[in-house]
Amino acid sequence: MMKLRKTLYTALCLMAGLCTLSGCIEEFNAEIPSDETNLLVVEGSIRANDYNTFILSRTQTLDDSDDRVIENNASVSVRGTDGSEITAYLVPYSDCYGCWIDALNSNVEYYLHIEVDGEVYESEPQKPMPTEGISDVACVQNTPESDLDILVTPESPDDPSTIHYYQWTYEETWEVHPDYTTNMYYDVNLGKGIFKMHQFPERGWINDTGSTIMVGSSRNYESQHIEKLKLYDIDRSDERVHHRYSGLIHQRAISKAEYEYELARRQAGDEMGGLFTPMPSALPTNIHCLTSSKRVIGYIGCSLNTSAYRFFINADDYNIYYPYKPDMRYWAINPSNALCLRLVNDGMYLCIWKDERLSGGELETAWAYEYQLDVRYRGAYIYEPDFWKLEENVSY
Amino acid sequence: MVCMMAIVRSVRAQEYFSAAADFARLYQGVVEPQYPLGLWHDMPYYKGSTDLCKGRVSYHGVVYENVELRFDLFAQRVVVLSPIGNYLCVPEKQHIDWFEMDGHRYVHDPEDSLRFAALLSDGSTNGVRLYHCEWKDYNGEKVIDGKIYLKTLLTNDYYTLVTPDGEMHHVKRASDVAKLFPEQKKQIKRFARKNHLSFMKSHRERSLATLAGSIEGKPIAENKPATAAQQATPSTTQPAAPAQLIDEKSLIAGIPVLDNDSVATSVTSSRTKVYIVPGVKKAKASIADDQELAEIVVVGGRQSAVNNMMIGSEKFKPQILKNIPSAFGESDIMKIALTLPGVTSVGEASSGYNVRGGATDQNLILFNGGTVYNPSHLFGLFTSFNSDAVEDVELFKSSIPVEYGGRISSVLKVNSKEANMQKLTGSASIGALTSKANLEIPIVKDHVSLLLNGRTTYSDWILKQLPEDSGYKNGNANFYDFGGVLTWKINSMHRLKVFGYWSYDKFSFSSDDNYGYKNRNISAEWRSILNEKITATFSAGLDHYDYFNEDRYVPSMAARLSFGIDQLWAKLNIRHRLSEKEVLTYGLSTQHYNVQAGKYEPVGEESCITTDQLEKEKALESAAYIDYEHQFNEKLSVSAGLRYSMFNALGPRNVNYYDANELPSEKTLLETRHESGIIKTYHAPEIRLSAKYLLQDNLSLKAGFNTMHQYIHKVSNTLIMSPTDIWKLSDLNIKPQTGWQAAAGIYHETANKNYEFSAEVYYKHISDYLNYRSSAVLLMNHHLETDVISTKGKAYGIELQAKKPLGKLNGWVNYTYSRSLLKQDDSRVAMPLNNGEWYPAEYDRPHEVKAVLNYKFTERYSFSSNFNYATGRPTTVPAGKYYDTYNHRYMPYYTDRNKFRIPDYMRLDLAFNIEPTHKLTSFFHTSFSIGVYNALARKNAYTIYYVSDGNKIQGYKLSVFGTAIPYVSLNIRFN
Repeated sequence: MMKLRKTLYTALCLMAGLCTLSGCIEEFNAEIPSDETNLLVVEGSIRANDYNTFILSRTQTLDDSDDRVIENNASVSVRGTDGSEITAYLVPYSDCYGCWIDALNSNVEYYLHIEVDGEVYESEPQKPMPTEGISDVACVQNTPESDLDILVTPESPDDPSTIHYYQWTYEETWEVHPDYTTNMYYDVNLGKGIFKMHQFPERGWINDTGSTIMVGSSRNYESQHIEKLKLYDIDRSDERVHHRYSGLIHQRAISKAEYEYELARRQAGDEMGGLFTPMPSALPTNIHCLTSSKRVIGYIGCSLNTSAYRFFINADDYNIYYPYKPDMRYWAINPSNALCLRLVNDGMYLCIWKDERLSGGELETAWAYEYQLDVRYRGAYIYEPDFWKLEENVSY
Repeated sequence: MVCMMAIVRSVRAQEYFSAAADFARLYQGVVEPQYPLGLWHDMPYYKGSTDLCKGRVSYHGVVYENVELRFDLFAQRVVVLSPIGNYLCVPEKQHIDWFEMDGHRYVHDPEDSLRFAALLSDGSTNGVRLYHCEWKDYNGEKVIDGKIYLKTLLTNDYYTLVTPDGEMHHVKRASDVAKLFPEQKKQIKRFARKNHLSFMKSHRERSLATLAGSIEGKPIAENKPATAAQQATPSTTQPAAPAQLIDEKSLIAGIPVLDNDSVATSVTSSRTKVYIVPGVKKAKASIADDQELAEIVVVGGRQSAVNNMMIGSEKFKPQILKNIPSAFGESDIMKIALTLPGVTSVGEASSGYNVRGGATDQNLILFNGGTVYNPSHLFGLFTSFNSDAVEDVELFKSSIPVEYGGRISSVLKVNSKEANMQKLTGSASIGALTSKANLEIPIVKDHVSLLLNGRTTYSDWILKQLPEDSGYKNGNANFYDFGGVLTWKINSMHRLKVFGYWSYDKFSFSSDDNYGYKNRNISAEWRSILNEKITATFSAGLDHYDYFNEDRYVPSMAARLSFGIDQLWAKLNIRHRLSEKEVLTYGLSTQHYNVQAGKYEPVGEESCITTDQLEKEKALESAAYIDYEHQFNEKLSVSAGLRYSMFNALGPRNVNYYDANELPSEKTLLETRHESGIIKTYHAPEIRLSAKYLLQDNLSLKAGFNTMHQYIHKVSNTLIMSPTDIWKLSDLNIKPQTGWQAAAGIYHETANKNYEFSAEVYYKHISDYLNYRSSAVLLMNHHLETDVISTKGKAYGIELQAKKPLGKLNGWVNYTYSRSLLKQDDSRVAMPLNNGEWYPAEYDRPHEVKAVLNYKFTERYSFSSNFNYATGRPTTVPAGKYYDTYNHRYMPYYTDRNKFRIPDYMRLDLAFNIEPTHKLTSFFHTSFSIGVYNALARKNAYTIYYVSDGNKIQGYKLSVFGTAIPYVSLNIRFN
């Protein structure tokens, strides 16, 4: 449904553009009223058997260019209606409060208690929600020209009569290769290229976390069992799938209210502006200030457990598009020793030394900078992650 | 039988005549095409003269005196000079009953109704009628005196004698006439000889007329009384003639009253009668039993704002469209409404409009009686109504007639044209984005006709202009609409019309999506004049609206969302003129709703989606109404109406019961019961009051008060009416919207009727307006009542308007100050919107100035302009920003609604219009319009929105039209 809305939004933006075929959307900078700022923002969720972190910050005016304001003088604890309390402490050198929470009692309601700046805030108590495991995560390319869709299928829910809501986050790891490789170097003493292997790592790995929190509901699925719900997609020309890619999907069951909160948050941030897009409105929340009528931004969910699933994408299994890259190496034909020496002094590495002068030909050389040869310059690490040897997808 | 005879003196009628001036029906025809007479050897006009002469014309049953006219023998048409505009126009031939000039009365030729013939003998003495038909034909090019004339004309004529038994014969001389009457053969010849009648061409007309008068026989009135039907037919070969005895009832029936609501007579004194005829309020006639009724002289005309009983009503015809420049040159009947005071929209290209602070769903749009739920094409760029097929449009924004109900803000009534019953005609138009055609087919001449019209778009070319990487280059956006009107004039008292309308929009922006919606209306209307006092109209129809959205981006999630409404309705309306000063209107209406509230279903075999369908909603809305209009004296008129409406929400369906002290929510749901029959009934009286007090002849005061109920609601959280809007019926948990409006106004016309001034003030109150709560989920919501909250509304304002309806420079200028506010003060809401204070609605625009001005250089060339200024509408902007740690970016958040206004809106449109070319021999007549929309090239903000741009929240301004848009439109008419 969101897709439909989003598409309509796009369509209407497009329509607007169609009408004039010239700049119908432009930046708008005006002083707008900022009445309610410095509101408390609470991020995090209560999860059993996990290290829980909570970040407290303040809202700012739109034109405030300062860094975000972190609340680090707060008292934060997770409380249960059974009287239990787990205090979260400010994690050194970080912006968050953390605490380890063991198993939670599924019959007890838990909530977050915050005291800061003389105000007391509490989230609405709720019972920890159990989360099903992930049955499958599939990567599908519908046509050879399509992007790669990542589709998730949770395990069948215990209760097929009620609608289930989930939140997914993901971590990514992908293999990267250097732009160019070399198996020789230029010996300044000998004045020629010398064969030498493994000067630079042949591959590396990059990690990233997904940029969006996805949510979904089972309402439109048989027996409330979500099947092949699209989480995200990867462009088939994206570097992430040029060799091998692995995703780790985290799944957490959430309440309907938290689901709506996430939808509203995403819409407020990304989906404004279309003629048919819903008009913006205040975010719902389950956190309330007990000592005043101040608004709070955030939603605290509570989970009995979470589940995860790791999957792999091998480039050979899909129709991956490798965009043409012009050869950025420096080619020198019959270079003099002085030139070669200068290139070395400039930080260049010899990649190719093809000497056919004896047969009447020429000496062809190619040179590249270190950043073109070493994947670490691209943010990659070179120690193979332990899961990289896995051949099959794994559910946790 | 008492045969009343009268002479209409009509002193007041003459006043009306001058009041009507150019607005009289006679002057509503097209401007006379000009001949390039410099290239012609012969003049096509009567007696070869271009001069105008004074005469009389009976048009639509109405006689116009002292008309400046001339008779074009070549085109066989009458051209009249408008008294104020001073331009020559051509009244529609089929509606001319007769005209008189140069001592002759011309009627439609009995052999060919497209020609006129001089009536030399009307059969009133002997039953013999004699006509002289004369016309000119093209005779090719000739060189005369060394000069090349492209046109020379040949004059043809014949004399038609109609014997008392109705047979027609051509005659030229006495012997031809004598043959037709064997028993009087000798007598006729003798008469011709005795009177030295010459049948040479130059004397033939007078001689034949004299001879025809000598024939013995019985007058037509005695032989064969004219039926009402015959008299009603404008092209009848037996026009109303001076000194003819006319039965009063037949006379009234003879006026083409079926075009309008009523005709009635009532004797208010022994000497005065009142005749109500189409387009005319009333004309008084003095009656004397010893005098004969010559004819009724009345005037057709515009609705005078001073004399009209209604407050806050406007009526306009599509002809006015040519005076209003439009986007892409697409004439749009709905856009006229937006030039009126009190009517606003949230922006360009938006379907839906707001009337006096009401929401878009609070306007009832009736097309031939049927409800149109989505009156737009291409996302609101165009409206669904083909202006070529529209007869007129009427907007009621304050005094809503008692026969209408179901919406609390306004009623927009769009009526289709009726096809020409005389001859095949048509028109076509080619624009930048659309083309349309209109065909009028007489099936049985003067009785049955069919109007067909269609329109389609070829807007795909715009999408093709997009760059490849836009992803939309392969998209398409199409629409079409068809309409038809079958009219059967059974006789002058009864008429049946059948209407059909179908519109369909379909658009997609890639091969993976698909969107569409359609309106479908079919209805029939039977109108009868039961007697001279009562007119009854029965109509019934079926309205349908549905939409669908298909999304196939991900095959496993491919789904289709659909929604539909079926509405079956019937109405009976009776208008009863009790006396000259009293009119009673009463009737019944009922409609059955069947709403398919939403269906979400899989598309394709790979889809894992399961079908989800909201329960169908059914309901019956009925009403009985009565309205009494009384003119107490010359100054004071009052109309009081009562409409009692009842709404029954029907089962079978599941009904949710919530804790009455709490807002509906999952937590407060007590139980769900499956119920059938009537689930919930709402009923309430609605009051319609209006009064007019004439301070002077050209100055009046009016006031009105009305209450309304609305049982169907558009549930939307979008700015404009969108293809995904849901319509929701009232039920146990959704109360009907109610509203009342009080309005008053003062109206003035200058003595020469050149200017009109008006000022209206109003106050409106709305209860239980269905607003959405924050972060509401409206699509496919099985518990929609948990996502909506009843809201109060109020609106008030003043509308000032100056009109110059006539003259070379004409148009109107208006200024409106208005406010439209909402308030959520339900005590059950913990955090009401904007802290429970009044806040401006999205369509609140306090100041608005509109001007439509036209200047006519010549009969052919005119310049038109449309100016619009409005305060920027309110919008919701972020209250601030916060940092989203997971996504590593700032996000906006919102608190109060509508606390900021987008920049003011200002637009000027200009157009230069060229009326039809004047090649008379052409089958086609073309007209051009060249213009520029948004001539100031102002990037008017449609909306302001903020999105996360990583490190900051960036505001953007969306303008629908970012620059000036030139256009050329071509209209082709053929006949």
